[in-house]
Amino acid sequence: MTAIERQASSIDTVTRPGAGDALLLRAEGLALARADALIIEDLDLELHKGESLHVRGPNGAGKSTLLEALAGLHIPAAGSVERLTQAPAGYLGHLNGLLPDLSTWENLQLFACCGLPADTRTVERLELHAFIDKPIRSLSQGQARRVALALACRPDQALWLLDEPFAGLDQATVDGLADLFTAHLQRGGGLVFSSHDRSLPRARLLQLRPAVDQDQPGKHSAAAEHSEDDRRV
Amino acid sequence: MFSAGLRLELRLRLRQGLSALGALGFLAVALTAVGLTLGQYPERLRPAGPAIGWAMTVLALVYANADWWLDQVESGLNQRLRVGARDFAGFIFGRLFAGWLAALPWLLVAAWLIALFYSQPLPVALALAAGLLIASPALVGLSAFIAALRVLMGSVGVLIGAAALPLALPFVMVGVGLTETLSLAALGLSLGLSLLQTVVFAQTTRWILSLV
Repeated sequence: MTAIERQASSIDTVTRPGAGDALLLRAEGLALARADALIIEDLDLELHKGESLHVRGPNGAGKSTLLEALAGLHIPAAGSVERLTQAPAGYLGHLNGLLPDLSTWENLQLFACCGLPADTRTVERLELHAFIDKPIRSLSQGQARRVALALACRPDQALWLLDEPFAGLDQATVDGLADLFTAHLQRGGGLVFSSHDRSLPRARLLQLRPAVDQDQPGKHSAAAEHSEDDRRV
Repeated sequence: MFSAGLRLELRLRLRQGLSALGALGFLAVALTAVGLTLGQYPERLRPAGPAIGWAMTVLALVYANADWWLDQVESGLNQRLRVGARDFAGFIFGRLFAGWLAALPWLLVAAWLIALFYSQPLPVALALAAGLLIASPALVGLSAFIAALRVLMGSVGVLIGAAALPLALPFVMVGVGLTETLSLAALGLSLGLSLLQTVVFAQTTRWILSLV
């Protein structure tokens, strides 16, 4: 990367000025590689209390890898990630993290025993009781996603990092989830989520572009507002 | 977290009892195959029985636990626990401890099978069982380590893990020796080595799982 490109890149910073005291998450000079290929380079971002960041981009642009890096699961090729919260982040990757041989209730119990109990109101809002005794392997994709979301979206965790949270959900559940996110942000929580086709009101946008080849790693750009064709929840 | 891992493992083991039967079936087939091969020379087969049985039991245990961490990693649970759980290591150690508990009856049946297939007298069967039980923490740890390498590196991981199989040789030698002479020194040595290997394998397994 040339000096001019680096300078231009540093301008593409997803930052809300003047809110340094309420910072939840900060990434500086972040470079992420997958299978030895650089997919994101020189990304700076900050997330403050009450803010949501929508990570968008085509397949292979690095959305999941970025969320993994923000959660501490992916070691950056360069740069740093700082999570400035007391509790660990609520993380949900593209996999649900549920054991298929266990029922919904047993999975909830397992997470509770691991210090990650689901919030009762969230369980009710996502209507998990309808299939509480069924094994996860017998649930539909949307039902399993609801269980996973109930376990990831805990009020005591200030920072939620969710990879495609709306995938496979019906409209009623999407609406319920949007309410849940809004309540979380109003409490002063932060949210980083990826989605191809849905966003949230007032969510800032981080647009990722796929890497073309080794010499041209994925560029990122940040926008304060959604583009016109954004589909709001 | 330890108790969460322990309860989960016991629950899964109870539900997946067929896999334990599959491993015992593997052991029975392997013992039969050796018997058929050396059928013309039963006088040679009989003294070699405990050693063959020991080696086959180690392989059967590795086979039985080959999928140990697969569900945890493939479901994404491993990642979620790495991010949020208050004691990831405790969870892994709990699962390991439960895996060892679940292996105990399995190993007793294996000792009985070996004695049965190679017409060993009762004292030899008891010595086989004692040797296997003493070595069981290390053998379970070894199988957990190989299973962890498998989820990290796929089939290459199994090959690398197989390179650690010779670490079980001292147990085979002491275990076979117990069938001939009962030695407290050998028992103590085997137990000490077993505990040492258990600690190493448990820590290495936890470390590997913290990467995937």
